[in-house]
Amino acid sequence: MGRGPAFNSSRLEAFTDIAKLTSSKCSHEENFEWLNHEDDGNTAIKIANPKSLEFQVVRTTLIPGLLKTVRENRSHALPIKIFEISEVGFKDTSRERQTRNERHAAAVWCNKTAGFEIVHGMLDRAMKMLEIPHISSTDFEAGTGYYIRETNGSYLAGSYFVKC
Amino acid sequence: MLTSLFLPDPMYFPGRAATICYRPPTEKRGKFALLKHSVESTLHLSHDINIGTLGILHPSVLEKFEIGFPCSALEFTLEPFKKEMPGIWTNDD
Repeated sequence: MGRGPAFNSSRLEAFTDIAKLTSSKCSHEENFEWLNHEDDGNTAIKIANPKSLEFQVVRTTLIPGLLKTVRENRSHALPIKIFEISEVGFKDTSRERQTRNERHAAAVWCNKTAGFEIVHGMLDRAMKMLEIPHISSTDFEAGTGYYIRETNGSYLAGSYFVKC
Repeated sequence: MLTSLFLPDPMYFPGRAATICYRPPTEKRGKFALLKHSVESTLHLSHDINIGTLGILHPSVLEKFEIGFPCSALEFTLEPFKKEMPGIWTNDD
């Protein structure tokens, strides 16, 4: 990826890259059930004859790998702040090879408080490095940019998102 | 992930999650493209795409992964930001 090196440098502040510690495959449970996601049968690439539970599907999200790293490093001093930039795989029946790769970026912050604003700040930092401006979700005239909008109910709508 | 536009993601704590939306730049330049953009912006038509999510992870997720502290997570796709790559690495057939 053309702008890759910008991510790999220490510019993502004190977050640690764990790309070399994780596997591109994981168990079906880790990829779906444990994340409260349902498998619709058209998303993940399944391995036909997995030798172990850890190799059932090609991961469609980077979150399980990050959370497993948090779990294995529970003796580490808080906060734990890690990120990963890797490829994930999806089933894509419209293509001859039936699959599609996607490069994802993901981060997890673990501390005594949840720290939503930390990961939000990380998103802003990544977008700044990609030179994508922040726009308002109601700004229909802007040519390009990014914005975030609340999904799970409206708890954040009044207090937090007004400031964004 | 990209198809579940603005639906609540049960991976996150209810009310503590957000979708990241991205508006790709219009490639064509010229009077017609500008006119089209202004008409669409007036009509509030958008071609914005959902590139990912962020939020506070649901306690049931943390329990499954045996994590005793609250966590926030962020994940988004970098596909729209990729520059030219060798053909063998891309998704083009």
